[in-house]
Amino acid sequence: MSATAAVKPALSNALAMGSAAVFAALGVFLAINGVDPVMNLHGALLALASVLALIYIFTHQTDERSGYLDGPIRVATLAAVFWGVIGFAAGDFIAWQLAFPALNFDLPWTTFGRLRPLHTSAVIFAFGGNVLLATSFYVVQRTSRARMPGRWSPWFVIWGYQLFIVLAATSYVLGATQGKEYAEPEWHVDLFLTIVWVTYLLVFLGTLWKREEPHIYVANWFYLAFIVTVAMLHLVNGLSVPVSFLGTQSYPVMAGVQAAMTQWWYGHNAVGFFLTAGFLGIMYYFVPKRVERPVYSYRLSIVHFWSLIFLYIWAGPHHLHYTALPDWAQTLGMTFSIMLWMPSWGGMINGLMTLSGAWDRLRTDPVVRLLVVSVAFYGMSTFEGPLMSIKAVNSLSHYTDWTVGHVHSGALGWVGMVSFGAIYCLVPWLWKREGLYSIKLVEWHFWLSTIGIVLYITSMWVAGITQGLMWRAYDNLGFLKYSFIETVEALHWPYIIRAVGGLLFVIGGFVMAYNVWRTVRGDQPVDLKDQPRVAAAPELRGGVVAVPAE
Amino acid sequence: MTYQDAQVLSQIAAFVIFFSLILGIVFYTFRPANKAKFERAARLPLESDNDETVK
Amino acid sequence: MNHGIFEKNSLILLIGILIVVSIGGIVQIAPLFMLSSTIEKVEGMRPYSPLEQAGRDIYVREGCYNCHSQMIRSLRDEVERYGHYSLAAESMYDHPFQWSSKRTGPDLARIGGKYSDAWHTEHMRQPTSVVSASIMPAYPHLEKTPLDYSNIQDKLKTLQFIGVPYTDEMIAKAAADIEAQIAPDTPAAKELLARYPKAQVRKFDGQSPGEGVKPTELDALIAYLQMLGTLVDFTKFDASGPNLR
Repeated sequence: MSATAAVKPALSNALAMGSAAVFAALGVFLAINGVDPVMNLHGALLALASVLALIYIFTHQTDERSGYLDGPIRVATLAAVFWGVIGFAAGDFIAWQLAFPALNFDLPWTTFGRLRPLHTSAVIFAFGGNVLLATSFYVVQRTSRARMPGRWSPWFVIWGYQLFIVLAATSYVLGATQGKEYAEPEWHVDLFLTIVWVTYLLVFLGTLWKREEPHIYVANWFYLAFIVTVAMLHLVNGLSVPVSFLGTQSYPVMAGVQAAMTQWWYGHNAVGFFLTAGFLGIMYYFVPKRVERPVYSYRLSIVHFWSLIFLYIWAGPHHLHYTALPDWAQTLGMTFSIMLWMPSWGGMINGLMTLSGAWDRLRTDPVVRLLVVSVAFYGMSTFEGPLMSIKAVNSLSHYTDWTVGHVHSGALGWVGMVSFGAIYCLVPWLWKREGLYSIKLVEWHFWLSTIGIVLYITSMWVAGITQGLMWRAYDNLGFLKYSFIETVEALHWPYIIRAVGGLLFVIGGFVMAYNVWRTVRGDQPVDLKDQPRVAAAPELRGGVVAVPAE
Repeated sequence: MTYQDAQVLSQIAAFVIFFSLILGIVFYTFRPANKAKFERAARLPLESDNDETVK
Repeated sequence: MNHGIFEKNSLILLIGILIVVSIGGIVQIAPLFMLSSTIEKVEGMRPYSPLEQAGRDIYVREGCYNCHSQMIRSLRDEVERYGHYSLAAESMYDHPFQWSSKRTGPDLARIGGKYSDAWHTEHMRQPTSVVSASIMPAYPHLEKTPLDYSNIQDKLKTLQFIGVPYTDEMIAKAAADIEAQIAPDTPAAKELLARYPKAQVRKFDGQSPGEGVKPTELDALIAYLQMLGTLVDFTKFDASGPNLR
């Protein structure tokens, strides 16, 4: 039943326009009656977005339904590239600030304290989030052989999420924040995200309910765990009471030690479920798809799934070793973090071994290389993580740049590269192209990123271990050997090297953006002969169905 | 309840829960009846997925 | 075909996921609210004075937690560098908590009283003027910006609602207490001290106090920094006390 059927879903259109009108009215109300400038601005932005949505829906009431619903996926893919470049650049800028503090410009809006949340949110939620939205919608439709349900809901998920990003980013720069790492958005932005996220869950589940395949492919298990768990974490950690319902400021319900435990239960599982489970969904679909052979062991993927989601949720307290958190909770956190090594490496092996018999792809296809090296970085950072969760190691590494380096080996190496791989797969497939504009540029992107990451993590190892050791160094009279500022001065060169590594990574991002743009525009690929058949959109692969060697 | 009682009780409870969970996973994963199903599922991403395939 | 239940029904898969991911959080978070040993019983803790709370809000707004911790770990070098390790009780009125996870700058849990107000004023104006190798951003605008405390009553009311033991009197006098804390040797300041023992009363930002002088954002921030870690009386704290662990 894939025939084109142009219909006018009157109820869907009416509901969508009604919701947009309600949002527009709310936005106008807040723009006028909000008690602080941030709320006024956010009201205006909400109203503007809603009115644009209303006009679009009104003028596009006919639904040319045919095949899969890929429009929202195209938007999310481009948004991922756009926010990715911005987020990487913001990160590199604040890296330079640490080496040269004059770059803070003595202005309230450009200080490290306000820009760092902008960087973390831009890369995790804006870049990573859009990659997850795009790939999850792509994968769940393809492996279910079903079109996403709803005429407008998937569009609301994508554009609503972009609005959430704009609201969050403007908050931070203007000083509206809840002051909790990776959970900085204020209460009203949190509420708006909740509406978007519940719609996302329903669209995803709705596709599964419509599916023509009896099985739910394992990638979808990971995506589902990611969506559901992030919702749970967001709701519990976000509990707060606004000072005024017309203002941005709120106070979180929890305080002190309970707040710390809940925050790191949230924070570590933002890593575990947003940056790991979701991106493992990408690995389990795009690696087999790109190398044209099934995953190494489907059974291992199931063990991987259940053990990973069960163990990850316990690991939060390793962020709170030797603090005022009770010892029993610290011990639990450390124990589960060490156990977590096993499912992580089980997953890594499963991803890598999917290439068995096709290792030559690693040499011939840089997209495969991005995907595979990302899995290798996943293995590296999931080995380093359990190591750093051991209390004795943590006493040295905590509060230092070692932690920053660790998180970037996961974020740049694993999340970044697996995302780049997926984006390079998706763009020709979604825009029905014969291949990427240039596979050579992918090669450049790969090497720029790899060298950038290596500079980043090695300089941060040096910085972190140096500073950790200096803090605890004693002279032979038994006094602390270094003042704090001496340990800061020691980091100047590592900070410069880190910023240079980051710059290479940013340049790589621009190379990707250029390549994606030329591909989307429909320019003739310059090196089509070097690209594998699977680089082309499914319709353009010459009718040959992939038959994996068994 | 003393601290020691709570400790013993929670350790036994945790052992039972974790052990049965892992047994459940292993049973589900390695049950011979599930073999064919998993092999079919593993091939899902490889099948042609142009717009003609949507049901 | 005999499909496994997880494949057959995505709702069962969903519920299975929810159960599996809930266990860890419940076991680790819920007892912290139920075990009385989680937060020590100490003498001296009180809610923040309105000016201190306003300063704390600025600390949060500027994202100081991105570089400064407020949690001294129970390690020898940290105790020698910063002072007694932080107690859970010391942050029990902190909404949000600001333990932080990174020390690009030093820990601030016991910064109170370590430096003079004049030092803090200079430091906020231009950090390198007092610490030549500092990489901290400058905040010259704080001393020029009048503190907006028009909604301080609502703030305290909100904090009272979520469990901070502000009395109704404290809320009613919130705005007056802000003005009192920068007006030393006044009857209002005496009242403030009765409500908030150990509160420090002076014009923190170096300007001269007087009738009708309004607080700046810098007053609030320094008032907060100067009280950090000074409330608990450690001469009366017994680390091996019966309520600990």
